Parts: sequence; structure tokens; C-alpha cells
Amino acid sequence: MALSHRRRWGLTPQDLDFANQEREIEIVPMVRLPLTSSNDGPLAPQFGPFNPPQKAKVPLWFALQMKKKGKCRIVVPGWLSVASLEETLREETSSDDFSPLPRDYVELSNTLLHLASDDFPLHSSSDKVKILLKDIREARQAKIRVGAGALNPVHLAMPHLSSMEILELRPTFSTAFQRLRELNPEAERHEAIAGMWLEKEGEARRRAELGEFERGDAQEGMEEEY
Amino acid sequence: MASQPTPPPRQGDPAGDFYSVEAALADSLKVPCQVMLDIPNSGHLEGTAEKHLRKGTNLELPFWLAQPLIVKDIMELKVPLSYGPRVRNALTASARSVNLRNLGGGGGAFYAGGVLLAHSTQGVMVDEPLVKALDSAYRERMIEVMDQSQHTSADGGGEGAAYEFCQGLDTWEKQLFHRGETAAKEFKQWSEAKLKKASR
Repeated sequence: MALSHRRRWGLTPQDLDFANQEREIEIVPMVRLPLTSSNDGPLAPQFGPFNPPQKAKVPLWFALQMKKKGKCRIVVPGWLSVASLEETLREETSSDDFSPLPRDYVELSNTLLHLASDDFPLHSSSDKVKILLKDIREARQAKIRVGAGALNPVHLAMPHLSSMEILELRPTFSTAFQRLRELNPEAERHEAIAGMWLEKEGEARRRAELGEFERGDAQEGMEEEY
Repeated sequence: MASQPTPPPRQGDPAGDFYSVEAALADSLKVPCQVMLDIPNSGHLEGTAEKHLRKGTNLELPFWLAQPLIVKDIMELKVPLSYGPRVRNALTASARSVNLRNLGGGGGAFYAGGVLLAHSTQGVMVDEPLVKALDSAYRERMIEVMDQSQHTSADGGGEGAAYEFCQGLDTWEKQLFHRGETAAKEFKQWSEAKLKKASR
């Protein structure tokens, strides 16, 4: 196959970062500009109008380019302030669920911290944010570790996991998942049968009488494990 | 009720097991068998000067050779020592402290060999206790493997229980470890590259 092994496991952090450049972000422009479209034909993206000091929404890559030339100030999103992150960290350490940070919080915070660190407001300096983000990341990693213990060959749910965290997990989890299925190829069938007994008992009873679950019944001992 | 045949193990692996050396090596697992009938002109299998293979002879054959014979009732399969009660008990007692590297099939293919062995009769009968033992052992060790794979860059040298544990990994676990390690490394590289770009 022409695809390298690495590619078959999923995206790289760089890919994700690149894709995230299309995300919209708020800026405060420092130049006046009417509604402008680029030269890429009828479906070309449009930017503006910029009326300083009014805020405008542009793609991240556009904001970074303008910022580089000193033509705008990026508005750091509210969830990336110290107060909000402290709240998130508290939530993260006190509850078993993942706190609802944006999907791309790792990529965006990394980009902003490195390329727009001077746009962070004074009361939530980029250094403090950096430390808080690191703590949050560690708290979340600990939860992922707990989640790994619950890995089974049928399904896995981790709501509010960010895209970068999924990317990091994908190679290991998909491999482990595959192996668990190889070890126990009947797992999915067992799960379906168990689900039917819970939800549609009448039908399950009928089908059990017909003997359709026979192989499942012989292995009932295994089912109880999950 | 005719029982459906169990799907053959190792299908649709995203890594493409067809080209996997590990998967091919797992087949070479040596299994002890007993010959159920006289087989003429096959004495060389036993490794002696005899011309014919007598009924009741015990010999060790690689799994790929033994399996078709087992299915046709020419040989009787005996469970190899590495999947016997001693190893199973050790795995139940403390899965993390068992060294799987030299158990089972060729090149440390403990789980792969075990799966082959459990399904050796091709769906007629599955060795459930063996499957269960492998499954619970894999689950328990998997967490440790994932943990260790995330911390290789912080780990200075080879010492302690973690190092010992990593020395006794089976091929499946090694693969898991490698993938976890690569992902952690890539993330680290990415965040540090950004740092460099920013300071320029």
C-alpha cells in the first residue's frame, strides 16, 4: 500500500494544527477595510469590513498574518482567561467527567500562546495561562488513563475529549480495541443479546426459545465480565 | 441448530496483518500432539529412524502443520505448557509480573498463539477458559503498557519494575507500546517546534 504506516494510524499533530487554521477568531483590526474578497473566483472567501475599533471575525490564519504585520490585535477567547481556566481546572479535578472545553483547545491555545502572547490581557498573562493549561492537561490525562481501564471490545465513550487528545489516543486505543476483538470475536454479539434482554424482553424470550442465542448461552459466563 | 462457524481470528486489522511478520511467526507455535492412527512413511516427523509413524506417538509440530491434522482427527491436540494451568494461574494471580516474552509462539507471540490455539478446531469448539484467561490478562497489562509508553521520554535509564515489565512484553503489547510512544513523542515534538518558531 502506498500509504505509510504512520498515516494509517491517523493524523499528525501538524495536520490538526494546519486544519485548525481555518477556525474563526475575533480580532480588533487596526486598519480600515471595506468588504473584500480574494481573487479566487465566485466562491472566494470574503473578509471585512473592518471598522476599527469594532471587532471582526476572520479565519485564524488571516488573523495571524495581520498580526504579524501589526495590523490587528487578536481577541483571546473568554475560556482562555485565568479566571475561566481556574474554574475549568476546579471542575476537572472535582468531577469524573471531562469539562466542556472547545474541541480544539490544545491547538488554539498553543498557537495563541506562541504567536500572540502579547495579546493576552494583563490580568491573565500568558505565563499563568500556560501553567493552568498544563495542569488541566495533566488532570485530563489522568482521566484518560482511568478510561483506558474500561476499554472493551464493543464501545468506548469519552464525551468532551478534545481533538488533539483523540489524536494522541487513536493509535493505542485502536490497536488495543482490535486486539480485544481478536481475543473475543463474539463480544459484540453478546453485547447485542444482553441489550435485547434489557430493552425488549419479550422478543428476547421468543428468540431464546427458538434457540437463536444458543452459542451465546453457552458462553454466558464471559458476558458477565463486561 | 447448526452452529455458525466462528470468524477466523485476525481479520481486518488496520495494520494489515497479511504482511505482518509477527502474525506469520505466531503460526510457528510448537504444539504437542498425539497421533491417532498409524501413518505410513511419515516417521521423519518424529525425528527418528523409523519409517512409519505409529499410533499413540507423541510429537511436537508447528501449529500451521498440526492444525489441519487436528481438524481431520489425525492428531489429538494437547495444550502446550505455556498455555497450561501454571501460566494461567500466574496470570490470574498477577498478570503484570508474568514475563510473556519467551512464552507461546515464535518471537514472543503469546496472545496471537493463544488465539490460534483456542480456535484451532475452526469453530467446532472454542477453548473458552483459555480465551478468558488471555482476555483478562491483556486488559490488565494493557493499562500498564499504555502508562509506560507515555513516559519513556521522562524515563532516564532502564531500572525498576517498569523496566522489568517492559522487558517481558508480548508482540501485541510491544506494538501497543510503540504506537503509544510514537504518539507521545510526536505531540512533544509538535509543541516544541512551535516554541522554536515563536522565539525566532
